[in-house]
Amino acid sequence: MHSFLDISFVSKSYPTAAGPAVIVRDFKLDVGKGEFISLIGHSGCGKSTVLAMIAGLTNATTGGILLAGREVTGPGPDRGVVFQSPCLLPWLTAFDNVMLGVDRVYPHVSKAERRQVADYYLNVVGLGDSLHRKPGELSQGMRQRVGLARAFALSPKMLLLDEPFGMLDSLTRYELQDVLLSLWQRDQKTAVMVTHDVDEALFLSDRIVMMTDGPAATVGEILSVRFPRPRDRKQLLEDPEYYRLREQLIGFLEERSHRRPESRSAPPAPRPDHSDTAHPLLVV
Amino acid sequence: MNLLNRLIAFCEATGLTVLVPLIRLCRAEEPRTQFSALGRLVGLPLVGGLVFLALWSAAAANIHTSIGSLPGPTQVWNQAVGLVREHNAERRREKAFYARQAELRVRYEKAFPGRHWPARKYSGAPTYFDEILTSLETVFAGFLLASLIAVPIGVLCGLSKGFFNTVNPYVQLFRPVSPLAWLPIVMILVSALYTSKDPLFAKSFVSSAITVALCSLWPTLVNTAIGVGSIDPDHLNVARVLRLSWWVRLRKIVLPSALPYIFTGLRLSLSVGWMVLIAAEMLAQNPGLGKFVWDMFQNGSSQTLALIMVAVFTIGIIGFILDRLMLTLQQLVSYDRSANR
Repeated sequence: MHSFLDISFVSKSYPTAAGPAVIVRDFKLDVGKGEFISLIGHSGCGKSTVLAMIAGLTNATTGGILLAGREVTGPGPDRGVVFQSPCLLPWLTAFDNVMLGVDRVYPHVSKAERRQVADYYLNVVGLGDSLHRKPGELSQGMRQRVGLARAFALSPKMLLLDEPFGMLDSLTRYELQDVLLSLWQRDQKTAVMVTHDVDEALFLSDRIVMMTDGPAATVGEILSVRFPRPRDRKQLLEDPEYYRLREQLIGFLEERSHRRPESRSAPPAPRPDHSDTAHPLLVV
Repeated sequence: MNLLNRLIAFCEATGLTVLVPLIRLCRAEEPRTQFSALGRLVGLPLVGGLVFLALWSAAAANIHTSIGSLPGPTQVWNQAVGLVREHNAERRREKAFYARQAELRVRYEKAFPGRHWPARKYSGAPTYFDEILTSLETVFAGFLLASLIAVPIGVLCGLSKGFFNTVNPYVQLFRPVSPLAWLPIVMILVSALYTSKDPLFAKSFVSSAITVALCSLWPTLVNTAIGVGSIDPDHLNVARVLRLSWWVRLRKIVLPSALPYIFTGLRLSLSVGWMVLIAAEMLAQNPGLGKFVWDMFQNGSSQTLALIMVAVFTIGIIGFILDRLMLTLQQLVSYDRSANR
């Protein structure tokens, strides 16, 4: 298959006092057009770093990423990102949050048509009644629906989802997985999703990339999930193949993810510093 | 019912929390809780006020100054009433003056048809209320000037580390400077540079307003810088993913996000400005409350102390109201920060 997204031997490391800390090493993956890929691994293994590099939010230290034949050098609206927290702007309504992106992507289209796009996607994710409510008035699940609508409304080349349902309760999560799947099927988008939920990965993906533990995480094994589409959760749960794959995934996460192709001694990964350092002006 | 609910929300937003238990009582909502709330919100401050008045009266009777004994609450109250009466009398005289003018004009135009009537303006002394008005105009002029300077600089400071490092030492240097130090410089500069034959504003007004601005711009500047600097990185990532232009990012993300901080700064600025204004007016002889206090001090009559105390209370009450107004505005622009998660 001609690869649509080509991630070739990408590494990411941060300089520390004890030498560079390698988060991801030699990550290689080809994704076909329209494919749904999940990255699964233990928390802190660098799967989100890989996603951020595809999104262009951080740069790879070595290696390169090609998207539709062009190198990724920075973030852009051709890749719709759904973050773990919906990252809505709290002072804008659901509709205006979606419009912010739509206005940016379709600058030459009439205002009415742009409004239609935002309206359409918010209706598809089931928020037709809450267009003009602010994030503070929406539940977690509804906010993440807005996040999905915003990503799809950009009409991106591909979707990047960073544990999009990680903060939701399981019922809401199932609902939103269905919403995501139907949107994905309708728009035929290539998607890469980071998750640590085995069932979510099996239900949504064509292939599941299992990553080894960090530091210096990389592709461990790749699992093909060949259930026919459109998928039905109930049917899937009755399929013995589902449990075989599930077994394989859990087996990898429990045992084989700790083994590395070769042992390397790398310093521990530095934690990104999010602590609010006291502002020097904060006196008044 | 709904109306009462809205009334409660209004009272809470405007800081009139005192009225909330009364409204709740109107719909017979747990009377016991409401009465205890009333006791807390109305009763205790009332007790405090009475104790203060008692101590004041006791002290007043025993302190003797070069211009008579220290005035007690009743004397101060009488002076306040006197100032109101004076104001009303002045307004009556003004009215009478313009009535006489109109009468004269009719007779003049009859006697000299075609000739222009030389209208005259009433030139009575400003009353206490005119002085309050002048003070308010001056403080708002200064506050507006301060905001126009401080918000843009604050935004730039928050956006650019380099700009922040360039400006910060001077912010720290000038922030603690007293208005009394600024004022002479400002007055000299104003009289040197503001030389119009028919000035729109009096020089004393301009000097006072600029001094107020110089002293009150710092809290807004600092808070704006902090507000802009502490934008949720997730929101900035949204801007990066969408590759929003600098202007859109400023308008849609940076400013709305920093708005609660900016308003906190503006609120602090206005209260600093109001405090500085009195000193500035005293020295610049801007016909406001500051000049009133100074004139009373120079005048040295037996009423002086009581009149100055009236001014003190006036300044306090107006400052309190201004702060409440700003607090209400601040609450209107703040949003639910947790809604992002």
